[in-house]
Amino acid sequence: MWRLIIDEGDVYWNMAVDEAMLLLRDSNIIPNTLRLYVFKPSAVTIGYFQRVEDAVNLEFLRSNNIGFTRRISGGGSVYHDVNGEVTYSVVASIKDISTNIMDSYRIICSGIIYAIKEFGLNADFIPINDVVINGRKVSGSAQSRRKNALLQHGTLMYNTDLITLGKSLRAPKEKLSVHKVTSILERVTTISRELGRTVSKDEVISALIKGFSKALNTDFYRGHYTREELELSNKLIEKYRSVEWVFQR
Amino acid sequence: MGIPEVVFMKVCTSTKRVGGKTVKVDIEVVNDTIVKVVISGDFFLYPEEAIHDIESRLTGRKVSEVASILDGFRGSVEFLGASIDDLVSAIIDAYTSCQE
Repeated sequence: MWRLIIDEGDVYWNMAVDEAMLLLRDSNIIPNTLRLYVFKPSAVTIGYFQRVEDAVNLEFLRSNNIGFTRRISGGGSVYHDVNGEVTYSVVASIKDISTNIMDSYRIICSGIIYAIKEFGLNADFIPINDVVINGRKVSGSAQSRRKNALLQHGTLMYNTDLITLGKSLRAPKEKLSVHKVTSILERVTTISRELGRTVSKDEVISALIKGFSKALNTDFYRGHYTREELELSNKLIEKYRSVEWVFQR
Repeated sequence: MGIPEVVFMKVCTSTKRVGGKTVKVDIEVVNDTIVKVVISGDFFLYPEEAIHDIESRLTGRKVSEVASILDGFRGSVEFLGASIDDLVSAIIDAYTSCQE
């Protein structure tokens, strides 16, 4: 049985907790955990290898007081809407998921697909790390690994403000041309938009628990952070706030 | 006082779109030698920290050495959304654009 933690916090806290959990799972100090959380206030995360100026619209983020930081995981930039997106983190022993990285993306992303099915919608996994409904992205994930453990975190957009998302993130011209569209807005969607009704955060959390239970073949017990997790997260949070980390490339 | 050595420094960029992911290379070249390289994008590399090792091993080297340097990373790193060959090609493209 896996631990389930439901949380909310700012962008620095959320990234610090994810890293702390990965490191502590790697040392076998904490159990396999599903963490479901919200970014409060809304914020942006960028991939480990991205240059800030290529990934986000800095002027828009600054003028709208939208915080941002760099993740320890690769992939692209993400807008986390406090009122429209739930983020998941799967922190687990690698041997409990798959030693093959691509297989582990597929297994964990199937939890998102099952969650979306709870709403009566069909979704598809598009390797490496996207889940789409009717060809439009509704979820993106990124995975980081240590020797024994993996962290995969990702989004599920249920009512994201796509206009703000479009203004916050930069998509390279080459990316747009491959997708044959001219705007981020045309490539992404939300569960509410696909259903034609406004879906609540609680509905999404409930669907995600069911979806991951099926994908990971486990039940969950509601748990809390350990003292070690809180102490390590409080140390790591300074890194995520630092200019040296965020603007390292 | 001697005559100051003339240094030609150029900063060049190349962006490659591979399998849905972007790999961007920014390089600074002085007298045919790479003095700085930054590899960026929305790809995945395992382990992530290897990017710093890759960049530092390319620094101070000639472009003709890039392929063999990166060959040394095969087996110890895993790219998703890009490959070592894509990276070699992006670096050579950036370097070539410096010569134009």
